[in-house]
Amino acid sequence: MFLQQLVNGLTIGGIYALIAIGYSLVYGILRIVNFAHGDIFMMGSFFGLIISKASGLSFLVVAPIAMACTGMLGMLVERLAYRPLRGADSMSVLICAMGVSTLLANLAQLIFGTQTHLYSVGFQLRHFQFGSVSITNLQFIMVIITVVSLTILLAFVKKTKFGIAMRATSNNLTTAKMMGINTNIVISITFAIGSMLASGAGMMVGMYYDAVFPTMGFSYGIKAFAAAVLGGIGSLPGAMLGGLTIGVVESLGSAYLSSGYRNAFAFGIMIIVLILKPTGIMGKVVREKV
Amino acid sequence: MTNLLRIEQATLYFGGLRALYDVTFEHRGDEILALIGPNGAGKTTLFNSITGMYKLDGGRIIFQEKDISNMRPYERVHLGIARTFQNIRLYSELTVLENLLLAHPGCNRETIWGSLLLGKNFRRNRKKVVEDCEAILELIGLSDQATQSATSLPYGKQRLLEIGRALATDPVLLLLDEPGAGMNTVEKAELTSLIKTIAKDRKRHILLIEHDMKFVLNISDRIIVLDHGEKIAEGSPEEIPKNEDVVEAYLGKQNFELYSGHDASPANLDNEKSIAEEIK
Amino acid sequence: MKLTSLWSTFRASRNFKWVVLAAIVISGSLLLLLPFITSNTYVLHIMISIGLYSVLALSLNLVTGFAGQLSFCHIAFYGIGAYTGALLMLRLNVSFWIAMFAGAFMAAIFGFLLGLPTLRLRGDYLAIVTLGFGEIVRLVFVNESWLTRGPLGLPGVPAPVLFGYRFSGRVPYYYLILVVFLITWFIMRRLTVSGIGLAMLSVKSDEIAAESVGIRPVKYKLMAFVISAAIAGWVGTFYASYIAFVSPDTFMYTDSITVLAMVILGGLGSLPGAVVGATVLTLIPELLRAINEYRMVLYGLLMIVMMIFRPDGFWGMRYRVKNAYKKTIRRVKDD
Ligand SMILES: Nc1ncnc2c1ncn2[C@@H]1O[C@H](COP(=O)(O)OP(=O)(O)O)[C@@H](O)[C@H]1O
Ligand SMILES: [Mg+2]
Repeated sequence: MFLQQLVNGLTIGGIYALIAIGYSLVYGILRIVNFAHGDIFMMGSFFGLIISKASGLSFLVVAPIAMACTGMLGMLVERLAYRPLRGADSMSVLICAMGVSTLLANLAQLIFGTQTHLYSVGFQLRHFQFGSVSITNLQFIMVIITVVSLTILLAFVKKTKFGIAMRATSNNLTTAKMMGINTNIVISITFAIGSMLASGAGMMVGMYYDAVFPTMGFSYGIKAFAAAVLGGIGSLPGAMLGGLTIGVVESLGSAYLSSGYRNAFAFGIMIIVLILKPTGIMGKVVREKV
Repeated sequence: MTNLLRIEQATLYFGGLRALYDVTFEHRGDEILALIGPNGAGKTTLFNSITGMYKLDGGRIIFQEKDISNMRPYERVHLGIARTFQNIRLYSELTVLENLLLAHPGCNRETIWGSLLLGKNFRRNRKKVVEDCEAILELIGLSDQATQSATSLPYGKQRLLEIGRALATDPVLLLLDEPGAGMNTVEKAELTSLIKTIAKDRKRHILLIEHDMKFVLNISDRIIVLDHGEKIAEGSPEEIPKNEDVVEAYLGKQNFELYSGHDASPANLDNEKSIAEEIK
Repeated sequence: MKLTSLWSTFRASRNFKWVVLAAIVISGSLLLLLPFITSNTYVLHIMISIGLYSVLALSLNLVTGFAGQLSFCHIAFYGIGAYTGALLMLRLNVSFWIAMFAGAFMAAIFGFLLGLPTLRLRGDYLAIVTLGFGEIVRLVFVNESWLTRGPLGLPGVPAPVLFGYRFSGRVPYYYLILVVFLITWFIMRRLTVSGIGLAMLSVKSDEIAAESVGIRPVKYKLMAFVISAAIAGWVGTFYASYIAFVSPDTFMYTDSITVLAMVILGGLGSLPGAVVGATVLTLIPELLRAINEYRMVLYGLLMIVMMIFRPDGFWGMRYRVKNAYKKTIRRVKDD
């Protein structure tokens, strides 16, 4: 039982980590909490479902297309809603972000209906028994995809020229601009990367629970944000660690304490972390310039 | 001998950058003390440490024999330390008068019940607050602009309003961060007499940062020189310009502010231009 | 731009006082006599909704428009007030009038407990914490069935009794919400022109400058948060009794967004703005039934568009009375 919950927690924790990275990337560069990220995750999941249903293609083909669409959606959101507010006070940006989130969640309800959709994309589920622990082939795949995409991302940010531009922009946007970096493109692509990861996460969640619904962006969004905060917002390994922790705590908490409060554990952790150590596990302390 | 303010071995780092190192000096009270030094010397950082915006990594700050190193900024204001900002921080949504009102202790310590009931004594207190602030407006020459938005004022007047706002807190010690920056010669002359009036008639002790050497030598009783976060000299306005370390700190880095400052008088502009050409 | 200059010309004109006075007298008597003009229960219901949302918008405005803290859990305080009041009336037969204050008190306590540790945080963290808090409150309503009957909700919340008269129909509720609204307006008006209001505005636009003049930011943020929660809890009890039923799905975070959209439309930091926003956004879905389905989509769009093109709202800070603080002492004589 315990081991089983641990495994389940780690699986879903990886998903939270993938979403959390989107928050962290954007926060690192623009210092804004992209409230719409949870809803982009939801859209990503729906894109996968619709494209698969409409085309009947194998999901291996569908997934990259859906991710590309979601990446585009992320860039569009940045271009239309956030870029006009570059340099505005943080409250305006936050309100605008909440507006985008509300807009996406409710548009999705209009388009797809408020009901829960089965995620029937023709995936053959198999169970493997390891002692008392049962693991599905999907769980294996999820863990592998999570680990691989995180590794690629880390390498991308550390090693490539674009990654360096990204880190420079994140360090200081104005200086980066003066050094000749096209910060607008960097920001756009950052949104695209975050959104693509969220889309991947969305499709895996769809398959894992065999369900998607338009308002799921809200709770996943907050949990992933909690993960980003727990790990130290702006830190990629932190987001990973935070996601896994939240996943495990939630899984164990709802098994042993109360399943009705499943969604409350992540918020609880987030509030405690923010109070005790607002910089998170791997975050840095910065002195605000006066 | 007791001092008004004593900085003891103040040290502060920004990551790897040593912004302040082992700075020790005191403000003896009843004097206009000036803090000078090249750009980036750590002067503003020292102000931020005295007012509590930054916490020191080492050393102590003693105000009226009390260690205030660990106090929050607003607590230090309650003890009587007020400041202005180098990069002006006025409230643009509020009027000139309101910018002063909110700094007045009688105003910003109003209670909920008092504000709701508006009793007689309460309103009398309010009246005193308004009168105090209007007197300050008179002093800084902004009475006619009381209902304007604070940031609609010209730059020089905004600097004066910053001083007024700090005065409204009824401070013992007033810290002025480059009060004359961006002012022309006439405005600077007025500023000099204003600061002297504040020091003498209103009995405030003053510590100021200034770039313009002429201005500093004219106004201050004593001068502290910072460079690279360290105190390199201390002395009277007569001694400082002759001090070799000081001249070195300014000229050695081709920093000509010692002589030209931000003074926009024609002579100085010419001076700056020729210097700029020389550098090229 | 033009509107503002028109407004200031009008303000400065000699007739301004009379026009305003006349407007207040006419609209005041209309509001007072409304139940005698029409007995249409639907009209009264809409008016009651407008009153309710105006009170919610006014109270949220104190936190967001004045103290500058983005809160997404306003409806949670409203819900806490509603449940507290309903439970006291249903289980302990407490009088409505006492329950109302208990609702306000309970909401204030939660506002304090949530605000104390979190108001020190950066604004964006606070926003997301309030989002989480609102969700936890809803989960408590759903899960603690022994107390709240879970998703079934609490039916049969009793009506208020005043001097032996039991409220029935819309009319008494209409007058009650009118009184609640006037009290809220009075509190907000007095607070926002006071030193407290100025301190809140200073915390909103620049905390560092505020601290540099002796203002303790957390104190004012907390004050705004608690007062605003209390008022939301207070009308929460009104709502419970008016609808005679409370259930968890009345207190979703989307309703917090609705109230926020009202404040934004009217203008952050403006009392008339909050009321205008509440009125417009209550009326539109009622008048245009067809768009009710798109309501939340519109609110989302509205928040984006307003922030980009008109962050000040339609009746925002720029119309505020200048130096209102000074005007409160006009009648003080030297003695
Ligand atoms: N918040 C901060 N973070 C990092 N570096 C800072 C910060 N504030 C000041 N500095 C650096 O500390 C040094 C001293 O700055 P400052 O005190 O502003 O100098 P000045 O003497 O011109 O007022 C400069 O190199 C400046 O870049
Ligand atoms: Mg400086």
